[in-house]
Amino acid sequence: MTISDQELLKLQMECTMFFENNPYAYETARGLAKKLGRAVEPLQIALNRLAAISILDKRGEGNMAIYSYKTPYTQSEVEIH
Amino acid sequence: MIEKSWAMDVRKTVEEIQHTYAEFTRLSILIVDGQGRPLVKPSSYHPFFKKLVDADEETRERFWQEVRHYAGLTRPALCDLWLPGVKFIIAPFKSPAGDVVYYVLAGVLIQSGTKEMLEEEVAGSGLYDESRKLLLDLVLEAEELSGEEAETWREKIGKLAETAERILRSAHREAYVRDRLSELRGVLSTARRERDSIDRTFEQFMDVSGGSDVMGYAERVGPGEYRVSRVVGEGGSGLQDAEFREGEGFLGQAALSDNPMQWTDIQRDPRSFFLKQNGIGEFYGLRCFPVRVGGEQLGILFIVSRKKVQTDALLREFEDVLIALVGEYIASGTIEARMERQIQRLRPLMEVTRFMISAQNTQRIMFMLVDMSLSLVWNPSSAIIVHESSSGEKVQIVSRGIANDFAEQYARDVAKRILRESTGANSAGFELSQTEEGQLMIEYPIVYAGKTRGVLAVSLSSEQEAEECREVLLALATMGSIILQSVYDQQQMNLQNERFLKLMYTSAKAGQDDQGKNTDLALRLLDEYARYGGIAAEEAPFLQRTAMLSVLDDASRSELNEAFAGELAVLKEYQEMLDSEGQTGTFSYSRPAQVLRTVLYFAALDEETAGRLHLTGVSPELFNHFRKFMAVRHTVQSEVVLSDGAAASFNPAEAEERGIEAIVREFGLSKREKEVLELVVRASSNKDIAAKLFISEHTVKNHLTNIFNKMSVSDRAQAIARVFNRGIG
Repeated sequence: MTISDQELLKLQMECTMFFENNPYAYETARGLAKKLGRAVEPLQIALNRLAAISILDKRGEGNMAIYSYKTPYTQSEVEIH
Repeated sequence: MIEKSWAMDVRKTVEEIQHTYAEFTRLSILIVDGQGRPLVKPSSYHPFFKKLVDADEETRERFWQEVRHYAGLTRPALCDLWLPGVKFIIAPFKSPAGDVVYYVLAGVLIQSGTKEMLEEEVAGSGLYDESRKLLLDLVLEAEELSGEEAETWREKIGKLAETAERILRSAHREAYVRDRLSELRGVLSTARRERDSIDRTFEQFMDVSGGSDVMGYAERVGPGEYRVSRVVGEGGSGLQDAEFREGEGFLGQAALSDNPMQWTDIQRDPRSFFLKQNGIGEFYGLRCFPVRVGGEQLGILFIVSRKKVQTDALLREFEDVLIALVGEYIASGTIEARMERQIQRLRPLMEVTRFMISAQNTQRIMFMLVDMSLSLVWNPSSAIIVHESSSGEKVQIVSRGIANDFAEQYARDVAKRILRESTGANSAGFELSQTEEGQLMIEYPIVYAGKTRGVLAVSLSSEQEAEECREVLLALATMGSIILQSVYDQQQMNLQNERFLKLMYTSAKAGQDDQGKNTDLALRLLDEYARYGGIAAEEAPFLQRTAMLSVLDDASRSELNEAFAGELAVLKEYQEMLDSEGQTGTFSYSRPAQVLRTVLYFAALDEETAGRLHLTGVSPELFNHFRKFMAVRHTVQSEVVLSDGAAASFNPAEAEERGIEAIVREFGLSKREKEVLELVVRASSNKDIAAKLFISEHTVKNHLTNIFNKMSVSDRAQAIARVFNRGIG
């Protein structure tokens, strides 16, 4: 299945927003596809890319893989000097 | 045929000139090609020429046989034909294509005083009938000229030949150029129509252009780096994907120039090594054309010629213009593709912006900026936001893909370089920097409330990538700045409103000793009750504001209606509760209203009596909970501290463990079911679970069915989600 860059980017954004909004969600591609009303295969590509750039955590492989949000590293009190 | 290629006006011009010369010299003139065929209508005064023109094939052939004796002539000459003394001027000239000789024939002339002698000669020649008649005609009608006059006419006819040659060559060149230009226009039209098919344009150009054997395009792929992305022509395939740097060889040299460059006789030039190395073989010349947009070099179009070819200068010039135009099409195609990619990335930004606007929380907006910037860059490795803290001496970091210590070190560097500046933004709106480790970073200032308050930085693999994504990241950073400005404005507005409310409250309670004191106590109680766990931490300030509003009169409240709409709605419920106190019936009030009623009630009474009462509209659970809180408030220290950073300190492994324990307790899972669930949560397949627990897959399925039934979930994803939700809760 081929997916255009634009479509992939759109899905990435959608998934990122979903997980940012639901930081404790644990989803398979199939489960998320149902929630977002999207096809599973392109969604899986987007999810894997998000996992590759460390926005999502991925456990397991293939259809069994479960994705969850990885909270960015935050440090609130860094001394400038 | 050459005659057909002449335009009618060219033929007329040559005829006019020929007639003028004929009239002037009183000679008959005929211009013929190398086969003796008239090229234009002859100027016939002598009957012999009339015969030639009247398509007397035999006469023409006989005449031509005579003319052919002078085939090697290179200059105009007085030639004897048939009979010594019967003269014609034969002036040769080059055909327009330069490949054959044409002739101007003028005659017939004889030396003055020789006519009678010639007549006798013809009479005594032994010729009969036609031949004799022809010669007699030639002689009788011929012009008698002195030797000087004949020489003058020879020169004149020579001039005519030169003029005819010039006119015909010019006409031929014009026709040739016109045809070639038309073909080249066809190439341009193809290039314009089929922008995606550059190879086809190249092929068509090579067909039309003389001496273009290999044509290609080298694309700029990085700073100073080029790669041959397209090449056509026999023997050129070795160049495909070959790479070179600026300054290396001829192509590298052309990459440094703003203007087209051309080299000839370069076979032994050391700069041709790149071409030889990539299989071009024998070649003579190279033409290069830079493809640029603004100040940016996008690539180089190049043409290799295998041998020396003489090309019309005008055509060569037109070819150069045409190639430059093809370059323009390539450039516009490249820019279009680049813009399309930008647009593809900009479109989802609208969604992101809507989402960020709804967040209204600085930290969440920073999370989004980091995540979105990583998504928008094609090969990202890391992104970081450095944001000033409220004190101004420290900074806050949100990052992904960067080692923690490096993130802190980078944050300090950015803070010194950018946050200390007044606006931070240069004219481009971004800066490119390189970290000590050599990582290229593109940095965008986050400017709001009049100064640079943060920096969004994304690591990139190359400057090329920076060019590709700089606009879209600028848009993201700008949107981030605007949204943070709106959050900041909202916070400032809330702060102002709160100050105003406190001022009004202070002034109102001055005239109400008891109620003022009670409300002050209620404010403290709300703080303490939040710490006790009775209400959420963020509920306390809301209820405190509502409590303060309760002291104000109606006119003052209406002033604050817009700023504290939520608080006033709760206050309205509170007042309804007061009115309904002691009445029976079913009442339904919001929890904040119930809390407010309870707190204000307890604050107004001493603890001993308050503990004994029930309040209409307040749930018994809440009332009893608060009563218990009041009873122990003197001894309760702030033991329960709620962390705002719950998300940041979230540990999935701990959540998993806690969640499974909670599920086992809640749904009564067996020990084996617990083991199966633990493996499910770790994303093991049925096969893996069977292997790890030394049971069959069928048994695993049975366990899973039981687990799902007990937990009331339909699949493993829901089961996992439930485990983590329990773990987090």
